[in-house]
Amino acid sequence: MGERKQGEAVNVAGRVIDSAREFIFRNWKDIRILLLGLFFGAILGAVFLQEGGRPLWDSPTATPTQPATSSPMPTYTTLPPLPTFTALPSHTPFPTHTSLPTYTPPPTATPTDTATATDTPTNTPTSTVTPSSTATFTPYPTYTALPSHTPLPTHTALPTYTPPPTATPTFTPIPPRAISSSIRAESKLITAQMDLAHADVSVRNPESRACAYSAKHVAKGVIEAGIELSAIDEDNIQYHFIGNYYTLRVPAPALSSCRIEYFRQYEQRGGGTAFCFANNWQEMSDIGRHLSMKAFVQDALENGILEKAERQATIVLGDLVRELTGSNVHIEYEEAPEEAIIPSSCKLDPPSGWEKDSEEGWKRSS
Amino acid sequence: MIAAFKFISRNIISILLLVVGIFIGGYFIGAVHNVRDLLFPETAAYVRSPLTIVNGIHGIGQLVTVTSEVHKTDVEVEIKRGIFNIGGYRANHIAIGAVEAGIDFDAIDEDSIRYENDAYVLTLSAPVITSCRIEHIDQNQYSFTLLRADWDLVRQLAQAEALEHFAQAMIEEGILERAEEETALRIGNFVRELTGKSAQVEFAARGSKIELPLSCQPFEPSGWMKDENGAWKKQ
Repeated sequence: MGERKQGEAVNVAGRVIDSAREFIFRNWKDIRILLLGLFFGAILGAVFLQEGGRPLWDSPTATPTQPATSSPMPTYTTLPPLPTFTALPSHTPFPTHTSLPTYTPPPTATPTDTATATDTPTNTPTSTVTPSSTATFTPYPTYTALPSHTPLPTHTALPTYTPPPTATPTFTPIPPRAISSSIRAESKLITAQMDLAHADVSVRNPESRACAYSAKHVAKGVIEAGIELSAIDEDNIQYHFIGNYYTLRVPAPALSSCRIEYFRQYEQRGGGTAFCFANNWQEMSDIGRHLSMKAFVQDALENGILEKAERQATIVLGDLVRELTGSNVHIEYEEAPEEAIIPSSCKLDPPSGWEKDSEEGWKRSS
Repeated sequence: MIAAFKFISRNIISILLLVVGIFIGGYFIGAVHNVRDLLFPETAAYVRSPLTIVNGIHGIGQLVTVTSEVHKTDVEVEIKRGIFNIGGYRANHIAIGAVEAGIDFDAIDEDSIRYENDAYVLTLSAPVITSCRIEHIDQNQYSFTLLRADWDLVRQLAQAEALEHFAQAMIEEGILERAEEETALRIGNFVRELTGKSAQVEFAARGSKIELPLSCQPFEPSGWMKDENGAWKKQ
């Protein structure tokens, strides 16, 4: 019984093979063309993955599509930087706005000064209490009631001045297309800007010998430096009566921000067969950007960007103080730290998983 | 000509099979390209870095009072090429950057300052966007491609698009209004600490069209320009 079933199965398999063979023989011409197409397709694909080659056609259009308004939503979870807004207490020095003490002009309201008319005009512009105050000025006894002159609390109507409401977390609603992860208040007086360029930054992957590939990069960047204006408070300002001049002690100039404005990869070479499975040019590019930024920062410091920032800050701040006070000013700078402080915008991370191995080598960390 | 038409019509099935074969073959290689990281990750890179050219150093006077960190996801760029877009390709990007705003400190002169009612009144220029930057751009979700793809060009187009969008989005978000408030606060404090008098800070009226600095106007990839519909076109 078993042998019979086995025999039937063999017969069925034989029939299938026969019919397949017959189909191939009958359609051999078409199959041959399909195989030829596959072969040419593979060759074409391989040739054009060879990134040193030239495309058959130029690229006439590119359509950068706007992201769907809903797609960025998952990143809502990454928005907890709101705590940075709580740093706004710096907004609350409004008590200083109540410059009311300057409003206590009782001297002008001395009993001898019956001419209330002169009193009122000086007060009117800023104090809303003038109508009532002129009335109370006439009878002498009421003069003692000068406290009535201090309805200045009406001056605290300054709450209209309070900008903090706009600085509340409501400032971070997720916009439809771009997500603002944080808005922070700064007080950077930028006084020097250096334009730098870098060409032929060559990055080469030598590991897989036959498939080694390299690319060159060109980069253009801007480094800015200046001083932190918020660090200047009354302790840093001195007025010298003898000589009629001010001394301002300000923080040492530091790098403020860096940016790479243009970066292009060119002369991609090597690794260009299908057997090499093409190349990861983006990682080469990321290493190139990282290195360019590092070189820009170093070269800007060596070429005296901080000294330039100091000279320019002296001019800019000096002019402002002179125009405000009419006095001369002497600006002193705090001592700069031995190692320059590099802001986060001046540190571009290398691609994840890569680390510097030697003077000119980079290795995948694991 | 007639003979050519006769040949094509006689062999139409063969020609179609050939085209299908070419497509399948090309896309197979494209697929291999996409999984290459999985199969053969790079392990080392060597770098040769030449000298930096310092193009110039300028003295400026800008007071930056607000910085906004911005990021944008799903910046998709598609390059269309060839008949029926057979050579087309696309990639998605995530861009992270920052937009800064403040005032032109250099513009403060004696005409900007007056003393009234025992207080200083400063009239400053309207706040402006002072700079924009892209700190990181990540390319992902590569499409299959039959022909050679210039992924760096795609990234450049995405960067240009993101940079332009960042500045506009932050203006709509009110970065200039926020910069105005911060500037009034900072300058007011500085004047008070310097002179002991209170200060009132006013701003010049903002123009109807907001001018963006050069850093917010992206480099256009060589040979490419944006048309009136906002699509990039090769010249």
